Amino acid sequence: MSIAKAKPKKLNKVTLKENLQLMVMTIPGLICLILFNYLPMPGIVIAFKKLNPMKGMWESPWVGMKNFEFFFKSQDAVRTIRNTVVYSVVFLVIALLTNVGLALMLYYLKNRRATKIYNTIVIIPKFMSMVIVSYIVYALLSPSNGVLNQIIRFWGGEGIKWYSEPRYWPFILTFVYVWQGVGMGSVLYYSSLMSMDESMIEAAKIDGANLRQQIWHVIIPHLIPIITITTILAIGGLFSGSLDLFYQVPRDQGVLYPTTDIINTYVYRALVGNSLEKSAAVNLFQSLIGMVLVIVSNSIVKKISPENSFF
Amino acid sequence: MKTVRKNKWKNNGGQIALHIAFTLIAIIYIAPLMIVISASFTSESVLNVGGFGLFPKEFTTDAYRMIFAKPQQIIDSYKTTITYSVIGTVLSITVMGLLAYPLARKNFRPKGIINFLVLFTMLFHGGLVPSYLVNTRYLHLDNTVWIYILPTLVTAYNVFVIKAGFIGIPDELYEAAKVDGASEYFIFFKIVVPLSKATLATVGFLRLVSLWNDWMTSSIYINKADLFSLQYILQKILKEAKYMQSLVNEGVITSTDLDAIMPVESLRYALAMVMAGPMLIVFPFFQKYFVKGMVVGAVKG
Repeated sequence: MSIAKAKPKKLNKVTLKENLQLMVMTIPGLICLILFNYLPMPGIVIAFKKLNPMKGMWESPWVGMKNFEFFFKSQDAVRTIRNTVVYSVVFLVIALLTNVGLALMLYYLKNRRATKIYNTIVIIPKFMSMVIVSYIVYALLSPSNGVLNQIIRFWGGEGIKWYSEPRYWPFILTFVYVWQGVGMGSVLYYSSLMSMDESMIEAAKIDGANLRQQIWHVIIPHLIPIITITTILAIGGLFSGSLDLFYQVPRDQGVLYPTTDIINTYVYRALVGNSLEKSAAVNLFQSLIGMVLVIVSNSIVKKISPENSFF
Repeated sequence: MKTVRKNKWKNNGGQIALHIAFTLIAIIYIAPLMIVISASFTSESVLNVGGFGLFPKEFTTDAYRMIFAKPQQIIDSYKTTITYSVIGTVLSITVMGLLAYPLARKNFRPKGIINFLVLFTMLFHGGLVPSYLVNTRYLHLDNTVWIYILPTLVTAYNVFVIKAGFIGIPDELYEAAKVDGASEYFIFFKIVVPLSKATLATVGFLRLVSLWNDWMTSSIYINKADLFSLQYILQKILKEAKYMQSLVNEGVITSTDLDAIMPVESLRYALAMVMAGPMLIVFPFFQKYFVKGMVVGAVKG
């Protein structure tokens, strides 16, 4: 009896010490966040200034909203915003379809060893850098000696100048995106299917359900919760795109900007091109919209499934 | 009897159809890799006339010999990339693990505020330019290897993924360890970390991949050649070859002259092989971990 009583008391006593130990553990991480996330935050004032290298960030003169006006009055604004959002939505929908589709195919494949081999093959590109991917795309699309134009010419057609025709790029970029991402993207759905109670499928089969009915009435309902959560969480990223994909794969060709320029590439180019104020302004605008989207998507998730929300 | 056999046949038919579909998919994945490998072994003149193909039309190791004949830049970049990738990954996992662990503990008092500090960085960020100014003017990280490691050492999303992994550990384990007089440090390193191998390996591997594939940091912060990352070199070569290509188009030098100088195209692809190869060899060893760990992270987010 007395031992049982003493235990909780002892635990309570060390709580302060434990808390201190735990606090010490968070310090390196917190220092990193402060230096690299919080310290730069006041720097957003650059978006409202004209930077003078001699005077530095704080002494440079204010220009109000001029940097924003400059962007919004240019054709770049419409183009980059439209491209960013449209690509995000298209990628979201297509990734969902292909990821679930691949997971279903893997699930219905009976030979486990084959499943593993196929799975490994489709995941490989996820670990190649976009620079390498851009090399591969170039080998396929190079106007003079690329594989695609060789095939077109073989069938008597005329080679296409891929790197100067903007209209092909929505398809090329979408294809590259799916090609690189579908392997990893299907992992989540596949493992959810593997954890599904197989007797449900068996019961449906006994009831005479064909493949389409099995998928539609048993499998899809099983996946709906995950699909919903991933989709809503993805809303948080709608206003941002992959710099790697959109900068490297079209090789930063100006002619292609109408269909390849997104906010992220615009911000990066402005920074590298030394228009720091312009870059900061557009980036701040993107950051604020992104924040709203994350809050909205998170609050929807919180209503549906609290354990999946971030806050 | 007849229907059973029919069903069986039908099932096999389905399996065969699936295998055919997967074979076609596999070709879409493997053929481009073969084209790249083949390009690196094809002589420049053949590449210019016959173009890229699945197999080298005229096998040569010229491009590789050229790389290994004047390899200083590649060795430097390899050293830099390996150094920051390995140190970055190990440090990153350690620091994020240490930060995530208290957040997963029920009786950690300042949990709320620290959780918010982490979370807020996910909601709002200053952007590229303010970070650039802080990193260069105040922290002086430009032209050091630390610029690759430190700014991305802790990211909120990864902290939450690791935390989700830790939350799965039952409280009784902590209680038992505490009764034995274990400190929190001991519990973390000897109990929590071994139990969370899958999550930590996944996050660590994804960090390793993104550090290895980083081209942007060099392009913004580095102008010392020996500190360039491999991917940046690769991208730079692409740009310099572009410049050569434009000379060819303008007719200043003919493509045969260019050939005499260097095998531009095949050299580029040989470099791509030399620089991307190691990652593709390493990754299958991690596969079993990251599939498990990613599912934990995503479902429990």
